[in-house]
Amino acid sequence: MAADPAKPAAQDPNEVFLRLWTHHEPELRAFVRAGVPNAVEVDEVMQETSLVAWRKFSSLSDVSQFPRWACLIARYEILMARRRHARDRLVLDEDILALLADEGAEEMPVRQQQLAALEHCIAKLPRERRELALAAYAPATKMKELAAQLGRTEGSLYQLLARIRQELLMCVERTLAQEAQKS
Amino acid sequence: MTRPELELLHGYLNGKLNADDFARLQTLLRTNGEARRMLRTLSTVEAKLEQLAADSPATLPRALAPTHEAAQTTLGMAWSRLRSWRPLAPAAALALVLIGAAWIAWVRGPVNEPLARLVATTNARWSDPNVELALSSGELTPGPLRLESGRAEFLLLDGATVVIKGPASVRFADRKLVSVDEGRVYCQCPTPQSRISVITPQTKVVDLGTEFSVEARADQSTHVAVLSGKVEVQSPNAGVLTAGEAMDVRKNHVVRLKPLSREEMVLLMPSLVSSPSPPADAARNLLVDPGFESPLPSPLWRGSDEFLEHAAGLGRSGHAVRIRAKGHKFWPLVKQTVATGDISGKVVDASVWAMSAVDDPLTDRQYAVLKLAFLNAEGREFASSAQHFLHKGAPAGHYSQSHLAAQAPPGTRAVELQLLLNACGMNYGSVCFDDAMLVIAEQPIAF
Repeated sequence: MAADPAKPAAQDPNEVFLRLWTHHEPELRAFVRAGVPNAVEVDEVMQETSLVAWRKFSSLSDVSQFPRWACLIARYEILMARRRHARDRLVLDEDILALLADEGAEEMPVRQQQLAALEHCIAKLPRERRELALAAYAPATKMKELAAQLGRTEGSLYQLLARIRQELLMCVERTLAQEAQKS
Repeated sequence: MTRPELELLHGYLNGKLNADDFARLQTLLRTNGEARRMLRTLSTVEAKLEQLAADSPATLPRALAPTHEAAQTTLGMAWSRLRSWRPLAPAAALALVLIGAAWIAWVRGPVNEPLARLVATTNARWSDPNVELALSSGELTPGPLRLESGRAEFLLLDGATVVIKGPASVRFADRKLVSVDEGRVYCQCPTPQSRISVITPQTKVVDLGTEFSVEARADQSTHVAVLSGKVEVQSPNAGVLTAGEAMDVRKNHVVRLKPLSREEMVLLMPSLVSSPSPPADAARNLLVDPGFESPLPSPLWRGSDEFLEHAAGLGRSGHAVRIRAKGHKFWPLVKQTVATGDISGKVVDASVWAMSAVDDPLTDRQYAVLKLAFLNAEGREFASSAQHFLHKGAPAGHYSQSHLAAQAPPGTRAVELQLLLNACGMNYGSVCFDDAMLVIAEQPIAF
């Protein structure tokens, strides 16, 4: 059975932090992803968030509040990133990012369930679709080149990815609804 | 939500909205809680796919893989080419084994640029020959890389240089993170964009613009030393280290060490194989006809004859040698052997100018290689050092110089300068080499 990250055996704050961060990083990354459209920027925001959270960890009195607390730090870093990239295309206004972040912080338990459901939903995708999605989302993929290798237009590849995302979203919602019914 | 609204969300995630649609999306997100929830869920899907894609090597969809018949034809062609490649006949059996591994790697075909690219090696011996083959082909195998001995220099996607000294186990976890289970790495991050972190079993070292060395030791400690700039060591009571400082990090405590002496700094700092060096004195050049002015094939310059051309007018002044890919699966080459006698321990310095030819330029996966092979008394290669250059993006028609320095291991009786093209089995692509140089230098190599 996995150890409860909120009840670490060791009291070394370093270990407690590392355990909490490792445990909650996936849903924090998903939280950040909603406000930052570019995977490289997500990495930057996550790195800054981890550094600030590390420095301020001693101020967190209740470790069960870690995800919410980390979201607050990430929210600030998302807004900072927005200011750095304010002149880029498709940068959402600050008030929208704040709304997305505030509501997203409330959804952290759901986010964890969604990520768990996604494991199964992605595994259930037809192999070719799964491989294509993973190739498209790999760090250095250039969509134009991938489209050329697949003999598709770039536009049709984006449409296909949108369909895959939508299928996965529906699969996640179906899975969570079934689990809710069972419990 | 309506279909057009969903399309706005997907268009945003694809980064493909025009200004009008983006304005509509902002209005939608400002006023519609369900749209915001949907965007967060779709972003969760994206984050999960990105995480899985980063954790596992990307594979092309199966529809793109060559057919079995095509693969058999490829193997047959490779075999017949090997049979006609007399200079390497003794190595044919080994090469045939390697063909299998290379073919698998080729079929798997990287969709993306690897996170790190091997740019130079010195007497590198990898735990798995297939790893060596893949790295030499410009690929990065998934999982940890185990360097048994020697050193290897990698260039990361964002411009950081990481030098590994064997024995070491290292994994390029993502474009900003290098994981070191054992052994020493030296990192140089020349720009803010290139900054990386190094994680060991004991700690994480975050670059803040610097050159630093991290060694994961067998005694469960990590040694961090900063050569210039500063790093943050993410362990309790550790904090920031600046130039000249070093630290030992253990599970429960850290020990800040006395400032590094100049000698210690020099020892930790590798002379990067890929870094440029001042031109050597041409009078000390041990190569005969270094400018390829004599017709090929010649008794001096030998190699893969059917892939070589004596190229008039393509040299920096006069002739050059051109190596064409012409479908070669591996590395067509030209080489010259210099009998040096016993030069054990001395530094051998090599350089060459090379250019991607304008009328038949290198393709994205092809590159040039400058290699030093050390031969023993029986004339057999037993150690080597190599540098890869003219990678993707190198302008055609422009000569650039590559330089390589390596210490001759004990037992060296001759040195072979090899100039190769990583042909990748492509029919097109050629490289011109000119003004090669090989000198025995005196200065020592650190690291």
